[in-house]
Amino acid sequence: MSYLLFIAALANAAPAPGQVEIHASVLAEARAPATDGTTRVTLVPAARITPGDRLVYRIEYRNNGKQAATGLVIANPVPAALQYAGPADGAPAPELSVDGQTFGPLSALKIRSGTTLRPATAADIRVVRWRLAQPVAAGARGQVSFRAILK
Amino acid sequence: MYRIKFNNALLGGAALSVAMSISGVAQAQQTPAGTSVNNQATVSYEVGGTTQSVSSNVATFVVDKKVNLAVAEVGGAPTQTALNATDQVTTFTVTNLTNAVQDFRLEADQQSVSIPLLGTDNFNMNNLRAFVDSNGNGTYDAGVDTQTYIDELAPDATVTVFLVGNVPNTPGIETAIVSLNAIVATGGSSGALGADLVASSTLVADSPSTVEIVFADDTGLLDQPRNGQQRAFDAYHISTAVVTMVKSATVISDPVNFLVNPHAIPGAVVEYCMKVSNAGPGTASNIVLTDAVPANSTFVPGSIAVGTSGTLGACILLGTSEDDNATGADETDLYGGSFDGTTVRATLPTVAPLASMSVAFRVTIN
Repeated sequence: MSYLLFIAALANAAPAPGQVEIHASVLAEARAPATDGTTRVTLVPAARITPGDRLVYRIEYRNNGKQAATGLVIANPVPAALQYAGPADGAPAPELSVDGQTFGPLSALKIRSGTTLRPATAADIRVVRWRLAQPVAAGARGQVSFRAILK
Repeated sequence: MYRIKFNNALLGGAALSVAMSISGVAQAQQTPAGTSVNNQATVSYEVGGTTQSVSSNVATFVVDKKVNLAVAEVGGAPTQTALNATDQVTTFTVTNLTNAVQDFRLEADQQSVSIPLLGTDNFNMNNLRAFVDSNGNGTYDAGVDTQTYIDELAPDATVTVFLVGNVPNTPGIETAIVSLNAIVATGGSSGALGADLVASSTLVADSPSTVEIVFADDTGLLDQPRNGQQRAFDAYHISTAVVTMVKSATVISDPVNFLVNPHAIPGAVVEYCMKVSNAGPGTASNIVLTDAVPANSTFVPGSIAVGTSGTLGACILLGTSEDDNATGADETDLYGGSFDGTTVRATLPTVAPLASMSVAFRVTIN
């Protein structure tokens, strides 16, 4: 209930529909042997997905406004059925968090178990976040993406 | 200043996701088929000093059914049995590695393959059937474990399955190799075996919103990969020798007719023949025969003979004559024989599988 209230408050606080629009999509990694003996990975729409399959989540953003947008922060909770598996090819590495409070590289994250702290693993990642250093000019667009494995 | 605010907004959303994920994680190891996996990103930014935040669409797909199973033989050794034994059991386990509840059809198969650890197959069991260990005690209970298919097996759950059969009464049989083939079938209707699963065609474009069936089972001996089936092998082994004895009597001569069509009249000589047969498969050894001389008859001294069985009425084909005492070289010349005044005793060191040996002695009818 408190979550619902929180969301409602957030919606009210947000100004009129934004200049920046984001679109999330999920793709599956299809592996096929190539003629040179290597395995070629292509991204296909996520249709036939079973546990163990590798997915790529892609978040595209576009600035529809007339002014540059600065300080873009894109956050993406990792769905519970998925395990974070690193940034996608060519994508900037996101900041990671195991609790939604502290963000950083995986090596800096700790999990509290009882009274001790243990290093976090990829399976512990619950949120990924990108902070864009450069402003997004009017009309500009871009994308970030990360890989995940279906548990 | 603004950045701090953004972070707080993001953390609110993140905290929400953490609360949801914790309740959803402690499930089976595999994500159940039919689960919708939804993902929604949020973005915060500032334009001209104003903070804005917006959420994306929800990117979603439905987890498809990854069909897999494991069938294993329990014990790692053949079941020891005997000729003509009924309800002999070999034990297997079937594990559902599918990310959904499934039925399993069970096939009890006779095999003619040779497996080094199990031996060379040379007979088939009679009335071989597969039963589920309904009461879960790991032991076949006739009349209790009667389910012939696995009903509604949960993901990652294991159930014990028995193959039950009868051993034919055929001399010379030694090893029967059998296998349990489990076929993944449609679950969802308790108390009834569903139809065998069929993999969704890869030639048809699949949908992100429906549960497709993907076979992911491994290959095995006599098993194709990705066919929704798994097979494991076990064997029945007859290790003991099955020794039987038949005793017969033949009149050799009588005081009136002598050797021509003699009759069993007083004074007639009768030969008793005891034929020891071994139905195998093991070799019988250190066999001792004892036979009391019947009443109203007198043992004929020096009449004991021991050797391989003869044919056409002859008791001994190839053997040795034995004196009546229990000592001397004749006791160890392959065979032995003695008479202690009341009982004839004979020793045979070995009887090979499917072979027979005989002991003969004579009496005179008083």
